[in-house]
Amino acid sequence: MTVLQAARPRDLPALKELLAACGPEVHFIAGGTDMLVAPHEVAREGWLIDISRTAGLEGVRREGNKLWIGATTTLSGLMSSPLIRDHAPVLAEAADLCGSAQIRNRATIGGNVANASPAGDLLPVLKCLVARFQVLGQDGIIRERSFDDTVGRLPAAALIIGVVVPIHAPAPRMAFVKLGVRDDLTIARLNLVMGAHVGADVRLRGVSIFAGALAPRPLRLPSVETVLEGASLQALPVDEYLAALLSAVDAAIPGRASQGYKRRAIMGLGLDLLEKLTGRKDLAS
Amino acid sequence: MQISLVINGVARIDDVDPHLRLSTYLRETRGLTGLKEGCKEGECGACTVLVDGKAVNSCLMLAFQADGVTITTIEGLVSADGQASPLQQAFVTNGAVQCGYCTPGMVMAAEALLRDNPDPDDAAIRHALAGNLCRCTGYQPIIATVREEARRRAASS
Repeated sequence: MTVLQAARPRDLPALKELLAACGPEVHFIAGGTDMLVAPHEVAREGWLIDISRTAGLEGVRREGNKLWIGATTTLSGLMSSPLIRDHAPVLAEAADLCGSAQIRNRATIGGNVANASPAGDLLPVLKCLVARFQVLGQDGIIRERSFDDTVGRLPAAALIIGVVVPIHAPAPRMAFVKLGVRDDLTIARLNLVMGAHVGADVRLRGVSIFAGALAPRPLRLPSVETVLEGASLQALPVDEYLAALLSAVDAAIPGRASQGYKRRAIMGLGLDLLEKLTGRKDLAS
Repeated sequence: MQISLVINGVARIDDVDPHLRLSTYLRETRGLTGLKEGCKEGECGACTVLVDGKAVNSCLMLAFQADGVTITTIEGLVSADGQASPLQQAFVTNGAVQCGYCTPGMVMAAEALLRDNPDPDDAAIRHALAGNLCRCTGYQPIIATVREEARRRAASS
């Protein structure tokens, strides 16, 4: 006999009230696109709280020099948001490469972060964007947490209610690339995101690069960043860049069965990334 | 838990177990067996329905989450006098149906696309239907059908 109780709090105050009363066994569901994948079992005990239509947890708005993204904003919602397209287009681009249209219509940014899959497509992008997270505790207090304190490290019964992304002026160039077994509806075998400014001298500055699906959480690649920092767009150190990417794979997953193909894959993906960011189309030659 | 929703234009109220998937509710409680529960993991798309106008995998949504929504299933595309919709008929005419198992989900995904984007190119059609697997047709007749239906709608609007 099931003892699971379900609830659909209508707004944030109702959610806080429920959390305060429902004990430690709490499970949240929004899109359900990870939780309900067979053969996973939905919890049999405690509370199952559907936040997918809880008022106040959805949407995108500008707050000064930051974007606030509600946790239940779907991936389709990210793609169609004018604010996201203006200030964090790389996030919309990554969302468009997640799952299928059906998945994107249900899957949420908060769920992607809370699920903390090593292959989560939004995670390296959010890390590169220096996103922070508003997390509601069972005590009813909302605390802002860093990426590293949130992804894979959420306290029990804690809920991400919002994602905060800084808006930079001038905006850096950013690019995202993903490799899977097919073009659509595919779990990333590897993904890469890069951000950089291009100065008046046409050189890359403030380069940041993260890889997904190469470690439990997005992995920063400082040795690759060093190679590109200050490089002229007209004379990019492509060979050194690819060698640094290859070394990063060797350092991240030595001896793993996937090391062989990821060594090759990261070079092709890395070229795609650099071409996308710089607008150069001739780097492979 | 009680849910109140509209399915194919008819208001319904039901009590559902919190574990019940929307796909199972629609098939077994509501008798709408057009949608299929193929994989129960969002891979095959055979369970696709429209929830508030958007294509979703009904296997990846719990029935209790559907309180207050409007759902359209493949049965809801048929006219009041039992005629298949032009999109459904185009699937038949163009040989975009073979075994038929994927067809209801494929039609619903295509319907969602055409409502959202009346003039999709082939890349947009392929992207929109990427969540629907077909083992029989090789996809070409399906893509051609959606393209043809888009043209028909444009011409008749």
